[in-house]
Amino acid sequence: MSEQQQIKQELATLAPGLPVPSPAMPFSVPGGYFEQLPAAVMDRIRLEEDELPEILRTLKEKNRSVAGWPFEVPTGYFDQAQDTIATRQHKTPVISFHKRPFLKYAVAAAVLLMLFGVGRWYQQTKTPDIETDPESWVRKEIEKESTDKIESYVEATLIESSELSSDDKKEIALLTNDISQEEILYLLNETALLSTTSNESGGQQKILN
Amino acid sequence: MADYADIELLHRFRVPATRDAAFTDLIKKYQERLYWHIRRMVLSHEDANDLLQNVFIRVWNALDKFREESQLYTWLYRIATNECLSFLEQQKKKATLALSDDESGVERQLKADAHFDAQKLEWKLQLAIQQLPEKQRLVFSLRYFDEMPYEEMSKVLDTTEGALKASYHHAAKKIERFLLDD
Repeated sequence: MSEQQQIKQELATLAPGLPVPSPAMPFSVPGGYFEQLPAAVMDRIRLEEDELPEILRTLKEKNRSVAGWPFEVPTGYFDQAQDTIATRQHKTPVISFHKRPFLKYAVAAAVLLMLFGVGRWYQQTKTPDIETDPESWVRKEIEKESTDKIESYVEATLIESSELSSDDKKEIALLTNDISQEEILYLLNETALLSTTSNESGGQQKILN
Repeated sequence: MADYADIELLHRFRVPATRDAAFTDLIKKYQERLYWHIRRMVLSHEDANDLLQNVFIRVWNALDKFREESQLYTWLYRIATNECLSFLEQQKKKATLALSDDESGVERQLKADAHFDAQKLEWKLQLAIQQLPEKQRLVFSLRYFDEMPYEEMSKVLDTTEGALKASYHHAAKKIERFLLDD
């Protein structure tokens, strides 16, 4: 199918409302325009070239007639260029990855660093055994808790431990029957126990009671 | 494959003694096709004439370096298209705001033609074509009026064949709608 027929068929499918073949151009052209155009163009070309100084015109002509002028190329250069390039490609040394010593050492160092890093991370994250190393286990467990939680636990424990049962109190009273209050207070001061409980309201009195 | 006549033209052009004659023959061979291609884009004869002469001056200066990898006429069309697009770009920059928004500049220019007749199909078609964006107008014009194969058009416009087909399809539909709605 010729191009013309293809275009007709294409238009018939796409836009059947369009006229085929295309209508003549409605624009007018001044009479004799195309007859005088070649001469007009050549006149313009000559005018532009005449404006050039003689020397430049000569050089332009020379440039047209001798390819690459004024540069010179060795004789037979383009004939043997392809072969030269092919030979250079084969001669270019290819150094295998495995034979490059610097790369080998760099890779070894990277692997060692990685192993060290992984080991360190494992050591830090591993939980110690409570039976073989209870101190580390406790330390590890405490690290998991927040400081606020630990402080409130300690305070609660102290408060609980400072509150005695009625039986304990009777026992203490019997034991301290012959010890004066001043002596008890002196003892508490010496062992710094008083200061931990004096924060509570009526802490001293609580102890003596 | 290059036209034999074009090959012969090129050989004659490369010989100083026959250069002028060869170029004159080249102008005679392609002037009308290139003129109408440019005129459809710029509308005015004066502008088309200036641009066409510029195209041939460029061809004169560059023909020595033409590599014959494409058809000569493809290469000429490409130069002409680039001249048109540069010219239209300059026109856009120079354009002042229209007093009335009812008509575009191109419509006014068409209607200003002494032979303009809104009832005639060829004028309606030109009005419709002028509604299209520049690139689409080029594609439609090259395919519809110049019957250029998509393969050649892609070298002229430096666009893929697929994109050109899509562009042509849209353009044809738009123009048909414009003509039928009128």
